Formats: sequence, structure tokens, C-alpha cells
Amino acid sequence: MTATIPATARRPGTESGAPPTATIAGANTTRRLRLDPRTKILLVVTISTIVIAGGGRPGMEIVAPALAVIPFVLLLAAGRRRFAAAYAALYAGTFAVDAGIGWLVGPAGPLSAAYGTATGGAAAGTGVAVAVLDTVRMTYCGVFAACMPGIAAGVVLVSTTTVGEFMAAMDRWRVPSSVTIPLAVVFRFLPTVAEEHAAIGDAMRQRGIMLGGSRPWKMLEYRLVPLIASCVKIGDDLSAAALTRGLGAPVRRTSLADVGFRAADIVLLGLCAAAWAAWIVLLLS
Amino acid sequence: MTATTNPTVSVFGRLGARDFVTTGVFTTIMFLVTALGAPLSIVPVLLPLMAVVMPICGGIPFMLFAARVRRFGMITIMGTVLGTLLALMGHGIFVFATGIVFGLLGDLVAAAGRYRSLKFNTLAYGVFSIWLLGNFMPIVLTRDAYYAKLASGRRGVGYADRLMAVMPDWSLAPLAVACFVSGLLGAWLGRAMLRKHFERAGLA
Amino acid sequence: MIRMDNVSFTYAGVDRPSVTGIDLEIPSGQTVLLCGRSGCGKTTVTRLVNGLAPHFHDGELSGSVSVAGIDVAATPLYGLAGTVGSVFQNPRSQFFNVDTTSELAFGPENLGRSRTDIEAAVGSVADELDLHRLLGRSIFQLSGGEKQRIACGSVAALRPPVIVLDEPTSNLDFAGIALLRRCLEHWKAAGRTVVVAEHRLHFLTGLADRAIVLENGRIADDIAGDDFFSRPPAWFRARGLRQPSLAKLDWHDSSATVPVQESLGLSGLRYRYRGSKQLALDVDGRGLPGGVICVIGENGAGKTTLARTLCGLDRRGHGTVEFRGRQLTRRRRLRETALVMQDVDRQLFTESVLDEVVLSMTDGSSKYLDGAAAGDVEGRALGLLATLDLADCRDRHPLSLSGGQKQRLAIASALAAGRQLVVFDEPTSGLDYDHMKTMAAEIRRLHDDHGVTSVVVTHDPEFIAACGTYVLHVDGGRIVDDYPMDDDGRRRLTAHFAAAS
Repeated sequence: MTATIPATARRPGTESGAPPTATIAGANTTRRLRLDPRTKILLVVTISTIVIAGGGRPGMEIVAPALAVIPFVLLLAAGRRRFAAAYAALYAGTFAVDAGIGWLVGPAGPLSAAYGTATGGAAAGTGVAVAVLDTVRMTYCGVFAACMPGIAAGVVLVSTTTVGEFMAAMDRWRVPSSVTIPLAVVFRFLPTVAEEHAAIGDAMRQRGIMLGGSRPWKMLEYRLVPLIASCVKIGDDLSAAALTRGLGAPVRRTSLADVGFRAADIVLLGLCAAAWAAWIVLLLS
Repeated sequence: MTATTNPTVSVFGRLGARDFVTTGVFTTIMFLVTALGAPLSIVPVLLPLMAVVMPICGGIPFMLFAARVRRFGMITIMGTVLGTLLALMGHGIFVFATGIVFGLLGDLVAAAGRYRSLKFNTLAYGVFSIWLLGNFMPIVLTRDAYYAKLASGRRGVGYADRLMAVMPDWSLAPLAVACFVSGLLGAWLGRAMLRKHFERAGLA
Repeated sequence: MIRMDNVSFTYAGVDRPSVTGIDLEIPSGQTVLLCGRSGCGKTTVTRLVNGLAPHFHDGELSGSVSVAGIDVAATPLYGLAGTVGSVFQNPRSQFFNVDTTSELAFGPENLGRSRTDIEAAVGSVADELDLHRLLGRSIFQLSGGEKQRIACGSVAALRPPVIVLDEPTSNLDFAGIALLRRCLEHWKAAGRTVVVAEHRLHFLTGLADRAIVLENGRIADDIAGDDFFSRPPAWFRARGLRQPSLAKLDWHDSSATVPVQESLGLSGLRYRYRGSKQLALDVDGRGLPGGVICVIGENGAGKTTLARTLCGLDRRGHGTVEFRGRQLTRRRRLRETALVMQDVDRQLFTESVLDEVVLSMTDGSSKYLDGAAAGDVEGRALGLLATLDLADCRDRHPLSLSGGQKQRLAIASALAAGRQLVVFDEPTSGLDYDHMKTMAAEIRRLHDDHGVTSVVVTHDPEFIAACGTYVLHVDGGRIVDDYPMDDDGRRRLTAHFAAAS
């Protein structure tokens, strides 16, 4: 049950289970575990910053995977099973690939041996293979592995939070309207830009304007100019419509959305605090 | 004469809800340009390329945005909101900091030209483009961390160095220069589009 | 309730006033229709009431406007929000939020009302306007009619005594219009003062207490609603107004343009949305004559899907189209058909009108590239522009043209690329009588002079009457009815629209 539907607006018998909720990501998700958006924001920031900046310090090999588990659990709780599974597989994969490539190119591995003894073309071939493997290892096990948990936490945030809740959270933190209004507009505009982009793509394909056409260097211009022009016009309409409904009034904005910390929030905030404490300890040691 | 056309008071006036909506609209476009490039920059060889491509693509919307700005603050807000969005997507807190800082610096440069000087606006976009560093920071940081981990491991520094060779040391300074220079290029492209399209279409 | 004394307004950067010398007194509880040709000033009058002129659209205002005793020019927009509510033309661009419930709560939130007040306001608006089924939905999943109802609800949540609507039905089908009418009926019964600026008039029959016709920024007629709706068709035509009655449509003689031979064959046209079991389009074994084929049906019936599939725009749209004896696969349709979009801005790419047409001759359709010297291409392009009355603006930027000019430019581009099957998506939405007639004449001329077969997706019976030669009625992704525009066809078409409204 979401608080975005006021009690007075409910009718008995019209709902089965939790009503769908339009989240920032646009999807209608049903939420079993309700968290305060502020908790989710702090989680994203904590997980991404510590896992990324903590890097190769000794001790991080425990802290990082521990933090990586949190978004997995929350994704499951949000009913995003497929995404959670993909995330788990990708994350676990980094350890397997790291170990596998390490062995292949290591002193006991077949590639390392070949590298030492082969001559001419074979040596060059092995060199290329090793370079490719090294690149994969660096990209996937070094960089991607560290970015994944934060991104997964970001997905939890946008796919379980409505724009109203997010704004209410910003409001509690006293973020000024100079930032909250543009943020709300971005959430509102992302799907619009996608729609415009698709429609312009249709028009381009139909007029035979494509990369293979006679003016490939103009692609960026043909793509962006109508898109921007369209967005500016829609934006002006949107401003007018919002201003006639009181946007910009010099009073503190209120919100229909109901945000507040519950037991689950306290647990997760505790975990965040523990992670920061662990990080500081690692940093000092 | 109204306040908006009086050159002595206009630049530091109060921003209104309409300015915030306009900023939001352009921030969305800038965000998409960035968000589409961000995942690509994970691949080592593409990272420096992204530092060139993203500022160039963003130049077109930015120059129209700058032409519609009347008062100080809108570029700072754009940087802040971009940083907030990327931080919320899990790119780390760094991008939030660079968004605010380079947004503010860009805003100051553009304000020096009263938002009407193409020269200052171009320079402002070059400076503002350096905000992307925060976006690359996780990659540079994790690369270094991974290096440290490998170097301290059983295989030692030799192997770690070999691995680093495939991922050239794109430390932040050259990336910042790349962002700035491509920002100038993007702004130049944006100026061309401004003259060619937006002014003639009555949008600037 | 609304009072204007000798009001004139000139937009910044325009040398002619949009309205001049408006004296108007609208008593509380009245429902008023504002109509007139495009550019007559009716939109400006609504903006003077809700304060967008001069607070949003800069310009010079003289005279005084007051609403419920408030001086509009001296009050900031947020100060008027609780007094005047505004519904706009385009349902796509008037939502600030991404979900419907937040949209209803938006006004009260902005004015800092308490959470319990907001809940109560949302609940009672949902009750009054029957919006419960729409709550909690993403606005991107709503039909145009549903969006307009949410827009009405969002405005009503602030309980303003005055509500202005600026061309609210432009993007709606008949069913959507009927639902909008219910909102208006409710407001009328509740004693609100309602001002509607509109081209389409039929849905206000029996609802508008008063009709004001504007001409060149001045009030030309100010008469009682009943009187207005009982005027003869010629009266409306003389003022550039749409016919308010389906019974009085102005049929053109279609017999001259109906070609006898079958020219458009649809076989196995199917479309299935990702993850959906049902076919959104299922048309097979249909032969249609050429001419001007009008596709009718409610929103969501599959008209747009049919149009997109005809144009080969979507990989999910399967099947073959036989056009004048040739089999067109999806890829060939992409090359040989053209779509004139409802939002034409999206299909104009270049920096000048001339370039736009030249682009169509040099890209995509290699047909005209072969052996065509550059000068020849430009000469042909200019010739085409002249036939579409665009020669004077050859150097203008396409996006700076008027809506009708943009449409004609899109047509010129289609002709330049040699496309013989042209699909139009709602070409007359938001057009007044004169522009609608011009568009109809243009589409007829495409057939008569250029041999083009047009497929027109439309909700506009008056437009079908003015140019259609054949009607295709789509429902649930299937063709449920099709008939030529003979006497019998006219009866069936009239019955269809009468039933929908």
C-alpha cells in the first residue's frame, strides 16, 4: 500500500494487493519493503563512495563484498528478481574472471609459458592475447567490479521511489527549490526526451537520413537540433502550466508523499555508519 | 525601461520558478549526453575518447542554454543537478563536488560577459566541461586501487606494471585539459548551431 | 467575476496588438465560449484572465483586467493560482509530475497546504471528476483524453472559482471530448465560471451560456449560447468557424476523385507489442481504392499502429502492402511512403525551406540523384515550393514557419522524394475552419495533380467531409468497417461520430 494514494481516494473493492506506483524510473513496481528515500540516497552514496575510493586497501576485500550484498537484497525485496540475479552473476563473475585470467597469464599458466618460449608470429599472437586478457581483467575486474554495487544501489533508488517521495525527502533536508525544481523537471523530462528522440529517429529513417547517407557528419546536427527545439517548446508550455498552479509561490512547499524512518531504515542506516567506521579504520591503519 | 534590459542590475537578480524549469529542461539534455557516454568510459581505450566526445556533444545544448540565461546561478544549478543525478546513480560522491565547483566557475566566467558575450560563454563552457572529471574519477581511482592490489599480491610490481601498460595512465590533469579543449570545440560547434538554427528559428 | 475594461495587449517583439479594446463582463457561474479564426486573439484573452499575459508572455498591456476582484496585472501568478485554474491545449506538455496522483496534488503542494488538506482535495476531486481509476498511474501511459481529465482534476484541486481552457480538445478523439464535456458540466453545475477558447464547437452545445466571436483582436459577436448554436451553417462559415452540428457538414463531391481500380492491398499486417499476447494490429486480405483514405476509430484502436506499419517504421509491424501492383516489404515502404506527423517539427532538419526539399531529393531516394545536376535539383525544388505556396519563404528556417506552412513543407519534402503513398497523422488537430479547408484542398490536390494516394488518420468529421474518398474504421486493431464516401458512406460516417459523441 502506498501513501501516494490518499485514504479518501481509495474505494473498497477496486484494488487487489498493492496498487502500482509510478517510480522515477517510470516502471510501475509494487513495493513490499518501504524505505525512506533518504535512507536509499545515503545507501547509494555510502556504497558507491566506499567501494570506489576504498579500492585495494587491505580489509576492503571484506567490506566491499559485504556492501555489495545490500543492493542485491533490496532488489529482491523490490521484486526485481531478474535484475538482482544478473547483478549477482556479474559481480560474482568478477572474482572468477580475475582468478581465471590470473592463472592463464600467470607463471604456471599456458599463456605465460608460451610467451616465454615462442618465437616470431607465435610470440606476437600470444602477446596480443595476453594484452586482450589484461584489458578485460583491468576493465571488468578492476573498474567495473568496483562501480557495480553503487550502480545497483542507484537502480534500487530510482526503481522504488516516486518523484513525490524523492521531493519530499529533499524537502526534509531543506534543499532549496533552485535545486529541487530542476531535479523534478529532469525526472519529468527524461521520458519526454526519449519520446522525441524516437520520433525524430523515425522521421530520419523515413527520409533516408542515416549514417550511410551523403552527409554523415551532419548526423549530430540532425539529431540534436530538432530534439532541442522540441524540448525548449515543451519546456515553455510546462513552465506556463506549472506557474498557473502556483509553482514558485514564496511559501514552503508541502508534499502529499509520506516519508519517515521505520525499523528497516534504522537497520540500513546502522549498516551505513558501520561501513564508514570500517573505512576510516582501514584508512588510518 | 524594465529591469531585464537595464545592464546594471540584471545579472545578479533573483531567479524565479521559470528559470528553474528552463534549467531543468537543458539539464535533462546535458544529462542524457553524459549518461550515454559514461558507461563507455569504463573501457580503457574509450575513456580519453569520452573526455573529447561528451563535451563536444554537450556544446550544442549548452550554448543555447547560455543564450537563454539572464541571471547568475543557472549554470551553477545545472552543474549541481548533474552532479546530484550521477551521484544518485552510484557514480560516487566526487561528481557531485565537481558539478558544483565547475558549474560555479563556468557561471562566473559567463557572468563576466553578462551572458551575452559569445567569447565568454565559450570559455565558460570550456571551464564547465571539466566537471566531467568527477565522472572519470571512479575509473582512475579504482584503476589505481587495482594496481595497488596487484602490486601487493604474489605476482608483484612487474605484473602490475605490465597490466597498467594496457590501460595508459590517464591521470586527471591531461583529462582535465582534454575536457577543457573539447569544451571549447563543443562551444564553437554550439555557436555555429546557434547562428544557423536556433536564432533563425526564434529560439535563442 | 471577470471584468475587462478597454483592454489591449501587444506581445513583446510584435508590432500589432493581439487584442484591442476588449470590454467584457462575465458574471459568476457563466460558461462562456470564445471562438474565432486562428490568431483572432482568443488565446490571448484566456492568458489575460489567468495572468500568463503579461506575467509569462511579456508584452504591453493597457486597460484593466480583474478576476474575482483581483487586479491580474498587479498580482504574481502564484497569487492567482487559487482563483483561476488553466487547462491547456497539449496534454503532453502541461504535466509537471510523472504520476497522476502527484499531478492532482501539485497545486495544493505549491501553495503549502497541509498534507491532510491535500489528501482531502485529491480525494474529492477524484470523486467529482471520476478519476479513481486513473490514480497512481504514470502519465506516460495515459491516453490523450485521460490526460486532459487529469489536467482538469489538477486544476480543480485548488478549487478556483474561475477556470479557463485554451483549446482543450485539440488532441482528443470524440470519446475524449465527451469525457471532457462531463468535467465542464460538473463545473457548471457547481457554479464555477468557465471560459473555453475553442475551434471545435459541437461539444459545447447546450453547455455554453454565451458565445463570443473574436475577429482581429476585437469582439465581433457576443450572443447567448442557444442563439449561437442555432445559427445557419453559412453564418459559421462567414466567421471562419467550425460547424457545431454533424448534421450540417459541408460534403465535397468525392465521386470525381474516386479511382475505380484497386490500388492498396494490405495482407498479413500484424503488430504485437513486446510482451503482449494480443495483436495490436491484425489486418489481412484487404483491397482498397486509391484516393484519400480516412482512418477513423477511437484512441487506442490501432490507427497509429496501422499508420506506422504502413510506413514501415516499426520492425514489429509485419506483413506486406501491395501498392499499385507492386509488393512493398517493410524496407521498401520506408523508402516509398512518407509520414506527415502530427508534430511536424520533428521531421524538419535543415536550415532553410529550400534545403529541406533539396535534402529529400538527394538523400534516401536515389531516384532523383541519378543524373540530376545540382542546378536541376534546385530548380525542381523551387517548382515544388511554388505549387505549395512556399516560394516566398524559401530562405526561412523551417522551425520559424507557421503550423500550416510546416505541414506543407513536409508535404513538399514527400513529393520531392517521389513518395506516392503519403500517410497523415491528425493533420487538422487545432486547425480553424479556413486552415482545415486549405489542408483538405491540399490533400485533394496531392491526388488530382500528383497522383498521390493519401491515408489520413483523423478524428475530424468536417475534414473527412471536405476531402475523404474512402473511410476505414479501425477498432481493436482490425478493420471493422470500410466504405466509399457515397451517400450511404456519408450516412454511416455521420452515424459513427454521432454515436461517439
